[in-house]
Amino acid sequence: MKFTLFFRKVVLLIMLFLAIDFVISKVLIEGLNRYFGLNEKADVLINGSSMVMNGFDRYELGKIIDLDVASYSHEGVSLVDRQAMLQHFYDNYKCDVKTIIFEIHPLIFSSYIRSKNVYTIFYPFMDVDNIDYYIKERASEKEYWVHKIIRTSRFDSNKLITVARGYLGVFGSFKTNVLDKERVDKNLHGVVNEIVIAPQKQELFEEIMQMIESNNSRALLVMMPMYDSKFKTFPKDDYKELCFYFEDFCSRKDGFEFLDLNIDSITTNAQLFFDDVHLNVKGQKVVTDIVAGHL
Amino acid sequence: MLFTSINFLLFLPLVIALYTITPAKYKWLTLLIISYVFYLNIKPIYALLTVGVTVSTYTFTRLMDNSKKDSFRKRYMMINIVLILLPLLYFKYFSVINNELLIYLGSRGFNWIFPEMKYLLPIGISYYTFMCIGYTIDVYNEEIKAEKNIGIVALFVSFFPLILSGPIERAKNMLPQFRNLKSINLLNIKQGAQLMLWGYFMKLVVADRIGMYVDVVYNNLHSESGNSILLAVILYPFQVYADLGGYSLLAIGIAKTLGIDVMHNFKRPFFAITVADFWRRWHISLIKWLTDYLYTPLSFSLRKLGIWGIIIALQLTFLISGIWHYASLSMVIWGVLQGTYLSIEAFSHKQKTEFENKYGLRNRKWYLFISMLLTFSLFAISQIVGRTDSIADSALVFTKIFSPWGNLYLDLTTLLFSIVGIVIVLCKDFVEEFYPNSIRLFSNTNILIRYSSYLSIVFLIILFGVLDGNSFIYFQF
Amino acid sequence: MERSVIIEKLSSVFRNVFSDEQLEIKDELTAKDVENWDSLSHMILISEVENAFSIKFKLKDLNKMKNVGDMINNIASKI
Repeated sequence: MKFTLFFRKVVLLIMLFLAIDFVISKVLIEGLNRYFGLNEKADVLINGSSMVMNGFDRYELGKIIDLDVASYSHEGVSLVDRQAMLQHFYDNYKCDVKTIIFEIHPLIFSSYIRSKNVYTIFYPFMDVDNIDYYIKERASEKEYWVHKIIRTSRFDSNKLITVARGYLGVFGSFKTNVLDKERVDKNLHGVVNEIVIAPQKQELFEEIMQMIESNNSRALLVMMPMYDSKFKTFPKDDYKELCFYFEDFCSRKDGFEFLDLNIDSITTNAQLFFDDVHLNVKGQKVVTDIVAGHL
Repeated sequence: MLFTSINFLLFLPLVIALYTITPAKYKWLTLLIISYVFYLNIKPIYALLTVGVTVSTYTFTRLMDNSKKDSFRKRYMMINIVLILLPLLYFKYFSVINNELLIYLGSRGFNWIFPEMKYLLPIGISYYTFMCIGYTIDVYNEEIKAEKNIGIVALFVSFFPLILSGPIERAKNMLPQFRNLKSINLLNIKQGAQLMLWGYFMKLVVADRIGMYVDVVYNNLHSESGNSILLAVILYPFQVYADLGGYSLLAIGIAKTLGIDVMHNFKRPFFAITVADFWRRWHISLIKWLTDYLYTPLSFSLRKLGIWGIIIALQLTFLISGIWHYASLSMVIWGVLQGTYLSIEAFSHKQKTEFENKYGLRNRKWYLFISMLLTFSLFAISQIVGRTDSIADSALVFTKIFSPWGNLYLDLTTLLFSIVGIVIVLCKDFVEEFYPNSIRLFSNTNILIRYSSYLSIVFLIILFGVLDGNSFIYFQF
Repeated sequence: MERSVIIEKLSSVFRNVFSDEQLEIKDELTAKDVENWDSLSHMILISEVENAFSIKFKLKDLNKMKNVGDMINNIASKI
């Protein structure tokens, strides 16, 4: 086989590869957008981590309030990631989103790093400027360029499942189990968790709220509920102080509201929880109904 | 570096380029230098060992060739075998036994004379030691003339595609090729790339994916229920096949791009109809080596014992095969199990053949299918001992499988991807086994089918392969 | 002993060891061509051949015998 012919074949294969790579990645991104609800205009956007992912069925919520609800959330994200997510949202999805449902939890201002490689969840959105920059800051050079050039490498098995769910319209929770009350109570007995308020995190939060305000959106800050034994591990006074901060913050902003869902009727009902911090299908319905009422 | 790393994908074209520009007379030298660079990149100090084994093997094979007296030749052979076995015995077995003794005697209040020995096994030692022993014996048996160029012997020992996980090659096959290295042939590169592509698929898409399920179950034997454990037991043989088979294909494919032909290591093992058949299809290079250099001489000297001679030889051979993998009681039991399976088959061979002939069973598809299932099951059972860390854990596996079951560990994503991967591999093997040459994908004459196949596999690897090693782990508060 | 006699005697040994009354041996015959002739039955064959011809093979001989023809030549050299 002559070298020039071989070389031409290789070049042809590479070009075919890049073309198909592009097409497949576009199809996959569309699936992700459908899952998050970003493929069409959204009136309400939910943002948070696994607590809101389990806490809300965005589709059902939308049916109740008769609006389009999107949920751009992912397990393990912290405030700085959520800032990138909201930036991504506002830069790319030209729509008149009216309200942001923003997840709050007691450790939102802690500086504890929940994941070393959470930036990897953003790879599919590398085409977006702020996301691209966000990843470049965190990933190694090799990693960054491989994912930049080979678009399909931005997806892994978890993302593919999300894509499938997006196309199949499967948004709800599969968590039908109820937590093991006895075991959880026993494990949490005597445990004390600190509510840490790192000033940089607070600043970051206020920056995010500023971004929401300047985009003419309202914010509903929702303190997501957790199971009673877990809730009681946080010092009552510190918790009250944290809530007061949010209430006070919202009172000074037009259209911002704080909703604390750690109320007895929810926290003490073990049937609503899958584990000590996540709601199951039943709990999801309860919370969705309550929040719908507030909107 | 691992063959599955990005670094290697950049390294290989460089190797091919260097090899191409080297004049034919010195191509072996290029390969030797590259192989040592490759090895030094992993663990430099152990390169001293490969050099030592090379020098020893070269010296004693040359001495054998220059000697006429059989007793001298035999002596040279024995000396070399002992010399090069010593490091293997020391690193692999002595340190393990030593540490076990330390713990055992320590728990009884005695002091052991040696301290704890913590060594990482020198990379490739199990492979190149066996290759050199084989070469030494071949020279003694006058199957091959001793190589005069020590550089070629050094290349034989350190050849980078083979040094990590084999296949365990023979001097008769490799030395002539190393002496006459040809220039790059684009057809070889294409064929090598095809083998590598399938190897990557098996390793990254199938083996590593199944591992995600099997590892979780085996790491939590005490809390997992019998049904999850049973599922893991059934999946594990596929993981090993895809892992070792895939890696072997990578090694063979890489060698092929350089125009070097290496023996195949697997031949559609799950279509074996007896355990004997299975061992002619699984880890072929190791079994062939053990057959030629251990089983044959052993069964030959025991041939007057008839069937019992065969059985003793079988047991010993597979015992060695077991501990070749690693030094543990579990692997001893593994080896004994294989030997037992084969012995039972040897014993019942005549009656079985008569029975099969009487009813024409060998022509019945359902009979063959059941035989394959049985053979697979026997292997899967033996792999339980191979996968667990201790005898107690192996017993636990059996206990749990036969006790009442609880909830199945259902990692749907992993299971789904694993099963699809297994089906694809089995389909390919099935076609190769029963309808070779009929359905061709990679070697189809139609360029559209060829390119579609390549690209499909590439995208399957990118999308479904377990690529980044560390999956996204996060901590809940 | 004449070659044809060796062949005849060897044939009966083969037929016995491999349970095949129809088996015909020829020079080019190898283990691949005979069902049941594998490493497990090989030594039994060797042993039976030694008994039939009252000879003793060496391990070296074994390696040199690539087909039945080699075996016949080897036997002939020993008788």
